[in-house]
Amino acid sequence: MKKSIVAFLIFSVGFLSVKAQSATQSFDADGIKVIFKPTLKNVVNVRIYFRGGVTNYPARQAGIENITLDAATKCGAGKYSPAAFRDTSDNYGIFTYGTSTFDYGYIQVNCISKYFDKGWDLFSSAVMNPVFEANEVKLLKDKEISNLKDEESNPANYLDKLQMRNAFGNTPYAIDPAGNEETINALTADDLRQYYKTLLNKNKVFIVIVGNITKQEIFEKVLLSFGNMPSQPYTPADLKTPVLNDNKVLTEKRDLKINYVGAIMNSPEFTNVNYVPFKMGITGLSGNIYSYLRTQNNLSYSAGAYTSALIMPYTQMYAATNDLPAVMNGMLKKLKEIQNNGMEDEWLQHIKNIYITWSYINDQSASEITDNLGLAEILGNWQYGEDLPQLVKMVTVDQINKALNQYIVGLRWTILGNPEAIEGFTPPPY
Amino acid sequence: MIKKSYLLVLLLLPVLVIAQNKLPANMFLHTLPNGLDVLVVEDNNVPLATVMMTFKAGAFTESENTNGLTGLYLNMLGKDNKDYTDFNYNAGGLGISSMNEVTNVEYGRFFFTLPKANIEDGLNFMNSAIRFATMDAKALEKEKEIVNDELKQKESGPYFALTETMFHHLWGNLYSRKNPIGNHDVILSATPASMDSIKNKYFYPNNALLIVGGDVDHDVVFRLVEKKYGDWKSSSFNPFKKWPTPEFKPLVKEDYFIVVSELSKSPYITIDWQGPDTRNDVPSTYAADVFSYIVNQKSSKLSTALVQSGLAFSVNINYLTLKHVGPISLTITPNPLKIRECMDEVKRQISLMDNDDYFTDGQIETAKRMLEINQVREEDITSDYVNTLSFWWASASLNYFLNYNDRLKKVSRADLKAYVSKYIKGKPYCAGLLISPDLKDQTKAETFFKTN
Repeated sequence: MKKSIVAFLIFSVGFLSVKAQSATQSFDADGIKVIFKPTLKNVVNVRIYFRGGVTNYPARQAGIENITLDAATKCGAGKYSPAAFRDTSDNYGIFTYGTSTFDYGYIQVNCISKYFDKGWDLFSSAVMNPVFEANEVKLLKDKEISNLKDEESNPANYLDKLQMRNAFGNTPYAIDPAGNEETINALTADDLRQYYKTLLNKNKVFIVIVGNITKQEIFEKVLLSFGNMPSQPYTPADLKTPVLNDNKVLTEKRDLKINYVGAIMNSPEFTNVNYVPFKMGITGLSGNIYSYLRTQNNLSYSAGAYTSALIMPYTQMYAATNDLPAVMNGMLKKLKEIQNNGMEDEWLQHIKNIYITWSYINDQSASEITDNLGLAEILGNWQYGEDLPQLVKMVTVDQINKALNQYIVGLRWTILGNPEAIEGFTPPPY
Repeated sequence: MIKKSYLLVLLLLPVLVIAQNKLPANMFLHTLPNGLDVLVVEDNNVPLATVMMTFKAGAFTESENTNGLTGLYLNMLGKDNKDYTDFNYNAGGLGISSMNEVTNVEYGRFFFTLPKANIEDGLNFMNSAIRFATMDAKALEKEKEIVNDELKQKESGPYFALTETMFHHLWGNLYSRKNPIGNHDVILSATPASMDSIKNKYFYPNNALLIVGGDVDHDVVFRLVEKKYGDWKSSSFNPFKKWPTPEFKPLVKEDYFIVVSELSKSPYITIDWQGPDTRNDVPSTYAADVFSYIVNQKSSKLSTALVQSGLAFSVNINYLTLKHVGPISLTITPNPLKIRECMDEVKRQISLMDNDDYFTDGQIETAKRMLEINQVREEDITSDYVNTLSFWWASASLNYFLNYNDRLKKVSRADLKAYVSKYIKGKPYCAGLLISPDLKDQTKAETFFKTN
């Protein structure tokens, strides 16, 4: 394939990035899996992950895990009243919060090493003894609903939500982990309390710690703080990725200065042998789309493609434009080109170079490292994440070409903006 | 001429020595004879180097007729130049990542991160980009459309209209001096000549700071920079004397406005004052930061009165340090059912801000500690920290930043009260409400969102 300009790659590669040469280790602390990476940095990041995500609750309770985990850090915890928790956080510059997405939730603490003991005390209190004070839960619910509305007003964010409904309508991913006004309003403090009991299970959680501390310190802290956590059998839900082999378009009207378009396609799973070659191929596709739509034809300021890191993975192409047919045709043209013609060795080497830089950039931040290790563990195994840089180095052009053709067999388009702009236009069949 | 240059160096020398003495152990400053400041931040945690060139340029230099051209010019630096005809592809060959250009109120910067082994090539790459961009007319035509699209994307979010309207109210006919994104007409009418005009005014070594942060040796970097950038000619003029930024007119009265937008899903309020700046009132800039960190504590009177009471979902006050009048912004996400009550309480809180009991000694100490912790966090990630250094160099000076923590520690209760009295309490402000048409009708916002 002809050498392409790969501008977009330079801005963002978007791989999980964990160093193969790092000293990350995993150990068991009284039945709880702990993943630990020591650093020499001043910031410490700790997360306790809860497996399951949207498979943990029914659609009528959408958002319950997200708000429950956040409430654990905001609505009283153990000896800390809500006010005392907030004041201690402010006094020592400690950030704690909880959140949940499609495949998992977590509670996090982030602080500087000097105040790690204070941070751990807040964190462990939130995890083991959340109070869910009713007044505070009410305030949090109102704030969450306001946030949901705010998110919806951002067209790029809202397009993402529409796309998930479009591509995963008959799967657990049809549930929005953030919930909606109706489901959040219906939740009570007691609902949150009862729900949290279903999460707190040694076999459902694992902990990731990154910072300038020792394994022994961590081991003792985990034993002391979480030794009494219940232990129940846990079987993860068996998720089957839907095959996207059609070429449908879903539209929603919104009066915007520019239209937003996305297309979702299939993608291999994280631990699949095709994952890394496919991901690198999509990185190349992203560069081609950016180059074609932005640099060559000035059709879009932001355009590209990426692969999601989910148990049911997907790939997405996206752009914002005033010329939807031209952009959609352009995306398909670039997709077909890379599927039919593949990529050149030199181009692949450039992608590898950028990946290595990007990987080291992420390796500077305790929070990024924790995020990547946790995500890799959720998707299969944290060690696989550690091996990614080596796997990237070994990828060949043939592997990429094969993977792109094996997994991309159709598209689900979603458009937010002016649907009349594509009246009479049908994307070419795939 | 030569004598004059020597004299200049001699005059500057004590300043440079003072600056160097105060630099942290891993930071090294060197100024080339052409005036280019070179700052190296050594950090060997990861084998990378971030290269960032910052110019004192941006919105503050732009009139209404040139608003947006600095941003467009910086975007064009990422196109082909005399050394690289396939700019982005060559960047990939060097392992360059996170390459971008950013234009803000008082700076324009171009930067990237690459493997430390490629630092010499990276410095050459930067040199070619900032000095030898071809500014090809066809490429410019395309980039104009792209930047115009970028502006449209921003206009597709609900907050843009509020921000833009606030600029007009707060800064009057000088709003362009605070608006880095520019406007459609100026961007679309740009020509290679207008790009040249921007370059010839501000893009000189004696108006620039080159920061190299990462796993590098400062002596090696200084040598490489001297070799590659040494022949970059400095300007013979001071652009800020030749084209001075007009002084902003002080506000004379409270000014309320409502922005009604179908895009708005939740109401949002911003109240802005004209604050201090680093040319005229440095002590108040430090007091401003401490005060913001007091008021933003969850236990503060403001937060308790608004958030814990349920009148608002969030409240935040921020001061932006600038050379040319930094804005103080109080932003509130009100409970949509209680916007009127929320505004009443906000006004009441503003009237209390200089009371002796508005904040405790403990909250003052917490604020100072939070600011110190923030700095520790910023220093932790070198590829981000260079942004911080670049910002302070442009909006104040490196010395300002190096003294930052010491000066914060010296801020007293009296300083804080003086700051509030001088810039906030009883001072004219602009207040904007972003609201959907339906909610505006329901709440009759125009009946209470106005001057008393």
